[in-house]
Amino acid sequence: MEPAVTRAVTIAGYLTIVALMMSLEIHAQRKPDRVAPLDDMLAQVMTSRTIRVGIVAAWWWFGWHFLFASTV
Amino acid sequence: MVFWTIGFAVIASYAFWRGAWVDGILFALVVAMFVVDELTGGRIHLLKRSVTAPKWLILSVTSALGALLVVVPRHSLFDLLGMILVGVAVLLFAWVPDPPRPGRPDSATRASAVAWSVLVTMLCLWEALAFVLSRRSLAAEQEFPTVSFLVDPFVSWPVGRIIFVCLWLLGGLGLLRVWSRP
Repeated sequence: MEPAVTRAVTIAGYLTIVALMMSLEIHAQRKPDRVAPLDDMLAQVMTSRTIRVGIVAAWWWFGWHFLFASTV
Repeated sequence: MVFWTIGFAVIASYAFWRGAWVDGILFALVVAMFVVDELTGGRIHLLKRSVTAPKWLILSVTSALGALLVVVPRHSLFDLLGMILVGVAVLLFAWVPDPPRPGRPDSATRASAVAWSVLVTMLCLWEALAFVLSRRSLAAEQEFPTVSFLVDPFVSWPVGRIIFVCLWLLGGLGLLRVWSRP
């Protein structure tokens, strides 16, 4: 496969997943009693201390990875 | 809890494998906390009582740290200091969770959690695949760009860095539900 095509496929993969995330949230906002919106779900699961710290650690790592760590 | 422990353990292993030692140690510590907390029934005591602060103080400190992260050279010692300060502050605020409150039906919360877990896992796996394939050659980095490879030019751009820092800190404030505090 041509390198340019491979690159396009790779990027399309990311964009597809992001689009699915956006679709999920739109669906959840419309039918919140079937699929809880992200904010409501996080509020519920983060009542557990360990999950709360885990999610916050993941958030911090995200900033660390792009703002400080040598990523490329 | 098992899912979370396994998930973070996989991420820690992957980080160590690719030589990202800080990342690996962070996630390994989180896994250790999960295990110890589960085995002791939540007896890890970091604080005797919850850390609270007025909203204006939280936002002021956040703004100051954000300004620091934007102004100092990337990958510098001050950049590291800013990241550490953010990490410590957030850990202290996050340690004591908010009390449960009436929300969506359990089935809706569970469906949402499962769906988001699947999508985040898909994203991680897709990126991990791109990373592995990109290691084959220098040219392969262009063919199989990782998220880091794609985002790095944006974060290196001063305006992009400001946008990224703002969005990242706003995300953190959202996770800690600062907006709903008095």
